Amino acid sequence: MRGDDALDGCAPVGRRALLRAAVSGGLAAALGGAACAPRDARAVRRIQGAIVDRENVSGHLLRDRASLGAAAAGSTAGATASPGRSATARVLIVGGGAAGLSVAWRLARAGVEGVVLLELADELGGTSRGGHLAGLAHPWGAHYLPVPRAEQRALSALLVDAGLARMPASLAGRLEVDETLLVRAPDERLFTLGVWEDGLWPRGGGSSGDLDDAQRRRFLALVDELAATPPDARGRRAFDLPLAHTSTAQRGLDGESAKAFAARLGLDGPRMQWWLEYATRDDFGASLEDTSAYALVHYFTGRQAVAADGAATTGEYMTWPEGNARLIAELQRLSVSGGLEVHRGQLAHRVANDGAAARVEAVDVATFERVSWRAEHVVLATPQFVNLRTLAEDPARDARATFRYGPWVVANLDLPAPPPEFGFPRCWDNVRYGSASLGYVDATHQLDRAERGAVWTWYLPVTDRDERAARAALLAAPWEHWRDLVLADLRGPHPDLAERVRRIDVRRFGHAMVRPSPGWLWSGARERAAEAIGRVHFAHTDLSGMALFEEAHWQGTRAAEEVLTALGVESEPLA
Amino acid sequence: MQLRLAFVVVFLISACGLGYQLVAGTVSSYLLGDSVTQFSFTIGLYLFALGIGSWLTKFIERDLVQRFIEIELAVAVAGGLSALCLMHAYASDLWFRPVLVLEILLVGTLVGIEIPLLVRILRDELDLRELLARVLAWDYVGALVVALAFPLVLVPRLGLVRSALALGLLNAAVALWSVSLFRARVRRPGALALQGAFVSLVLATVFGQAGRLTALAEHGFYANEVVHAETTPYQRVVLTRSKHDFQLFLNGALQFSSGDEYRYHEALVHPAMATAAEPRRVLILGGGDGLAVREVLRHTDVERVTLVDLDGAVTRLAREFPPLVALNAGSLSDPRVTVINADAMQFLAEDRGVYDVAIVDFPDPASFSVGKLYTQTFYERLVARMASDGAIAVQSTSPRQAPRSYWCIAATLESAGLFVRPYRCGVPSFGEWGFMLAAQREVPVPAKVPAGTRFLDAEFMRTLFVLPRDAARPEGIEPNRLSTQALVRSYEAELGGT
Repeated sequence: MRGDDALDGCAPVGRRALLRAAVSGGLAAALGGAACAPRDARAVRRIQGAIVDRENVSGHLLRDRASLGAAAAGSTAGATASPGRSATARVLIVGGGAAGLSVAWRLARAGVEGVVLLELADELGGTSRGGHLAGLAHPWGAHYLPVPRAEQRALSALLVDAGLARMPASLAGRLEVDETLLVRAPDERLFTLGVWEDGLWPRGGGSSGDLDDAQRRRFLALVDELAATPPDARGRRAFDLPLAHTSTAQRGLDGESAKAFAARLGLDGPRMQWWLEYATRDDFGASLEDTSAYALVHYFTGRQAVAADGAATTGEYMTWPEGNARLIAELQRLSVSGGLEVHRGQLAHRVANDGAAARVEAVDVATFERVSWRAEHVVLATPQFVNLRTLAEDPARDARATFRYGPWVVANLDLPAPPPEFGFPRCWDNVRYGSASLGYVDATHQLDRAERGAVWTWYLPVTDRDERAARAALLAAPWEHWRDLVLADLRGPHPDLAERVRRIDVRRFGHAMVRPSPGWLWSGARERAAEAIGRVHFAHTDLSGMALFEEAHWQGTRAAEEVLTALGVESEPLA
Repeated sequence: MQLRLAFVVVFLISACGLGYQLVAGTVSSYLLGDSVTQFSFTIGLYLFALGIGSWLTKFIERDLVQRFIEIELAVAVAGGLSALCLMHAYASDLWFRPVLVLEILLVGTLVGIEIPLLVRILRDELDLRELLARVLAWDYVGALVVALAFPLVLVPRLGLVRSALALGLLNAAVALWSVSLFRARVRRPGALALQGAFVSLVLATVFGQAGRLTALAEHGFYANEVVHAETTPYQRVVLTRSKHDFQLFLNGALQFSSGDEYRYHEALVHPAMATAAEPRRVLILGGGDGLAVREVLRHTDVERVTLVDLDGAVTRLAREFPPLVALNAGSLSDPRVTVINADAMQFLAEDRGVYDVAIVDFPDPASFSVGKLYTQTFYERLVARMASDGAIAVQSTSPRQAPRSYWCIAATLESAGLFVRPYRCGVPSFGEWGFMLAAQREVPVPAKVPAGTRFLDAEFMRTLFVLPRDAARPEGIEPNRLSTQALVRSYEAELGGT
């Protein structure tokens, strides 16, 4: 890995360099940027941009309860603030990410009225938000969805409801999706040994038949074998989505880390290791060491179609210029037309059962107005680290405390005239071998237009073992730090990038993805945390241990159906 | 003279020497591919040439310093211009490899002379043990430094041509510096310094003009004289002229030659015009040269022609460049013709017009951005704009050279629900060329030609639809889809690198 860095340009960004940067906070020094900086220093200074994640500030009101109290007290003393009011809802959803909106969608689909959703941020979507730069839509987080099988009933129902797909003739098949919604070719390329190559497998300069290639073939054969594990008596496969619908056959894999698993199988080639870790960083935001071997195999099997003979076939991906923000918009549209009421900028800070109702205390983060909500049922579509701070009583507190989260940084680059291309042409997904980042996705890849301008979305999963320290460093670093990091990462493949970027906007997610840590995924902690407490229900993707849209949607559907049962509403279950 | 400075000279000449070797290896792997072979070949030949140079030094008996500085200047010229020479030589298949070998041998030999000469120059200053140890040590340090600087600094910052020139300038500077360093041992230091200054000036001038000189290499690439060349945001547009004809190239690919383009454009346009029930409204996608429009306008029933071409530079050329205007008979200025510069895929998604005939005349699917214009989605959007009794013609690459690509286009049109009649004609500039006639119903082989054609008559039009055996449809051809772009890959496999 490091050998490659030396070849492909100046100032490589390896994990070590990133770690040093994160810890010291002084990025320019850590990256040895001196080798590169002077030439385009003026161009770099001209680049505009900002850190755009305001909710990190309001969210910390919850952590620093003192300031919450002070803010609220200050506002009651103020002339304009109101002293607080009461409000009621039949079902109150806390959290407007993919899971919370899936609850709302499922309830709307069953005709339940009086549903209210509280969201902390100014905008719905959580880690599936999107944005606009120079008039072009782009993602801020999750940006694709494998076309589901019709058996994934909840997700299929959503896509059909939204007009994004049609049911296939056979239930075992995949949904039928309009070609324009699928990722266009060419989909992926890798920058290695100074050139862009087709696909993500590092070919290492064209020499085939070497050690890593043999290891990869062996690994894929093993994955096929594991994927072909016979279904159990209830027809459940060993690896599947949702995770809750899997058999117990291969859960023993959870006992070891993906790193130990790879070592045991002799998958030790540098390219092989990089390729495996790219997978865990991409889907789980975690290193091989911090990922359960079960999760690793799940990545290669669970999101793929399984043909009748049990052999895995390649999946196709749905994507949009704005990423999964499109799915959020559809969920919102379908729920609001069913009567959903959405309140943004609301911090729910206390949740408790109260006899025949549940109560949620919330604060408007702009006006500090206090609202005391009463609802027949409350669904907490917030991550467990938040629930730890909001639940008044929590019998599953110890289980909830075991959840770990990896931070992410996402940057969007405005490129009025993208750099010229050498080697394999620009793809949807563009990855640099050996980089700590996941490279960038071209948000304009799916568009037909004559203009050249592009927006690139750059993704950095922070996979440090000590995620708390990394989180603190992440939030402390100024915008210039991220600007320099993005440029240093992409200067190798695009030497004149700094002269071509007009703007770099940055969003930091302190708790972007739950980590499927070894031994934890099937420890029972997730299931205990998902159990309703009286009239308080739980729906969040972290309850699945994998931050995937499919899981967020399934958890939302499951929690909504719990509520439907409690309310006595008849509806054919989808979860 | 300061001995320590002499070792700096060793360091620099060794660095430059290895630099030229890297330039040769990189240029040849860029241009010929297969970097393992190219680098192995370059390194081997270069080391051998160093040996020749060392051996040759035994014939140099007097004026060691004078010879050393002259050699140094020769290296500066030969090495400094090496990348530029190789780029120019590449325009000719015949000459590239001989020039490459000669360049490596020349630079290697000259560099090979330098170190033994320098050792002899310095032999009175130190004993042999110390001298060899220091000279060789600095020699290898120089090699290491340039080996690191070349990929990390030189090539990313300067590009290959300028990197070689920069090394040449460094060599020339070393020569000039050596003149002052060894002044006492040179007979006519003034003359040598003058030579050094001249070499530096030449190299510096070339360095400043490197961009233009690289472009000049293009003239060698085209067989004929380049009469117009421009780089648009989308492609490189080049017009060349031979004795009787002129030719249009887009990104180096021949689009037409004026001598036989009438065959291509008559075959492209008239079968579809003859098939549509009433060819009044015509859509032309691509074909910004206006030549297909010229053929369309031979049909007197035509009321409206809409031409959609991405590149405004091409349609402007077709309207304003006199030889092209003469060839297309001023078709783009005809009042019935509307020119729209837009992405054809986007145009079809947004347009609300209805057309009786569509002529689809894009460049071959050699890139993903063109390949999308040959997909099922594209044809579905096109069908949505067609009158039900209309007809579509599609330029479809060569059925002989690229049969899988040719039939992939047929399969893709079929996947969009069209009835397809494949056909072909001979165009001397291209060879056997292929087309598809497609309609939303089964249509007979057309046999109707307007007045004024030079190639087709009704009888001959029928024969275009008879395919020879070597253009038979292969088994297992999948339609081209946006998510696979199978056509681009098959075209690359069949015609890539030509």
